[in-house]
Amino acid sequence: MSATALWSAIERRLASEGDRLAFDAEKTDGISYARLRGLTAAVAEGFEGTGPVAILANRSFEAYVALLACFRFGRVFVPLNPSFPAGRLKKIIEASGATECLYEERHAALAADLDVRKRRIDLALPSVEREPIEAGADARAYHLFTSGSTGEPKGVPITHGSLSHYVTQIAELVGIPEHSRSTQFFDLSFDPSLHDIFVGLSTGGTVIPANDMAMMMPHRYVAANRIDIWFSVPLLGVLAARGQRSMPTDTKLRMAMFAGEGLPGEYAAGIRELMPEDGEVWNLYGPTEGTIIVTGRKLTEDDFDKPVVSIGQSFGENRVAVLADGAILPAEGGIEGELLLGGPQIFGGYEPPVASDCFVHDAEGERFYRSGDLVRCENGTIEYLGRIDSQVKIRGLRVELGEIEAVCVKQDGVDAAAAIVLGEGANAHIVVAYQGDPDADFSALGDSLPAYMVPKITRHFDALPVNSSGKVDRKALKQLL
Amino acid sequence: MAFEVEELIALVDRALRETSGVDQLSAPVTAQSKMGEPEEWDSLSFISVFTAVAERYEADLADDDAYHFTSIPAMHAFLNEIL
Repeated sequence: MSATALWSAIERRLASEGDRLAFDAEKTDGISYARLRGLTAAVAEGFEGTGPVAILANRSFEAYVALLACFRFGRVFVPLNPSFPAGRLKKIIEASGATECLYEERHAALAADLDVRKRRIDLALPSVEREPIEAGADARAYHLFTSGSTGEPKGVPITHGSLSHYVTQIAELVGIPEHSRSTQFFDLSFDPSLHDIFVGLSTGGTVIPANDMAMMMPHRYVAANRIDIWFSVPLLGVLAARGQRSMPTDTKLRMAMFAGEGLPGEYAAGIRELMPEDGEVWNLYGPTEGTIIVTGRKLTEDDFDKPVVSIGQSFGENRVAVLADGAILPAEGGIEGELLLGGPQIFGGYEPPVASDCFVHDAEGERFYRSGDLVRCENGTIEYLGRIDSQVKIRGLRVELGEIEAVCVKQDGVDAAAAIVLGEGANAHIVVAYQGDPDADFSALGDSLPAYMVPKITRHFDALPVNSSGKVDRKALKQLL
Repeated sequence: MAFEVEELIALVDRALRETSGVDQLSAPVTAQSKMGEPEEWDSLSFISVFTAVAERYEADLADDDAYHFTSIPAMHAFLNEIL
């Protein structure tokens, strides 16, 4: 077994970058590459057994150190979002088979609730020398959980080979300069965070975690930390542009990338207010099942006037096709249909398994993941048209409305429920219409669902509107709400 | 100098209405209002509130000061301390 290109690149950087900062933040001394090497080894010395390691930490040095300790020393990491209810985190621990949990001090109370061996991530541990464990392409790197339509989070295991392909190829496609300073906005449980960490470290860069205030005044965070590479959901770009107009700062940003949801051209134009004229803006697309990002496009002047920017085309060995009228067709010639994703970044299947099959095979036996995204392919690029199911994005976070409905009907007095999204952008919120007891109590939803999935409004109907096939008519429901 | 909360409420109310482009907010701004209540006081309008207050009182605010700008009571206490 030989190590993946990414694993080797990280080891090379840890050995050669010395005092250069791997992680930095205002009012801290940061963590250098040399220290990161010794510290991750020290954390790894405390590992017991060989099972997956849950990491209860987010956008912090602790999160990065724990993750890198797993990555370097042969342990699968399972990010746990500290903002999620304990009940959901327990399900993730059980479904992933995690045998221990590394947690950040500020989440100690939540960690105490979890039924698994626990250890605080101690950044003061003395550095040690320890031989890392090479990770081959087939070895599992991490296990992420996304919203699942059955009411349970869906587990997506990703191999080192998939992650390595992504990181090495995206760095080349976008042209990430060596030794850049980059943002870290994404939650650890949302896989673009792994882009931030691994693309940053493999190019000898410095990753700067965004604190809560940086999420509200990102332009100040970019300026104060001399950041030159930006990666976020589109809405944060709007915040930055708005802030820059109100309180101009001297920023050094030279590249911006967006992912997580459709990118309106005007949002992309806004971020240019923080950049020089030759600054680059990229739109990236990919589901968790395809290892972070599968297609990308560098924006041209025309794109900034478009309602939604194209998601570009596949890169590296990734492949795309379209499922239209039951046939698997090349992604070209103005064809419309469900986007299919193939190649080395596509995961091997949900774990635990789910009932529905998410793969199709073409005549040559090539396996494709059914993305659920409706697209039109023309002139070598892919236009996103919408979803073919009830999956939605709330501020970039993936939500299966079916999961919300499944949890709602478990509440006393609720016979049937339908969830829809009202509003757009920052104002998007979930509304649940239900049949049953008009006084049904939904106050316990937050025990099962993350805050962004808890409906803002619940409304009783004597009967939910249905279409001719007997299914809830969401369009009619939207009008009634 | 004592700082009147009513003046702050009016300032926040105006900033939120301008940012969200509405004549009337979903709920009135009161002495107990905080981000999310009214719903127009969200992350997108946060910077408008911060800027409006900084301009009105010619306060030289640092990034860390922004932590006080997530509710009327916190803003009021903070402004009374620095002005």
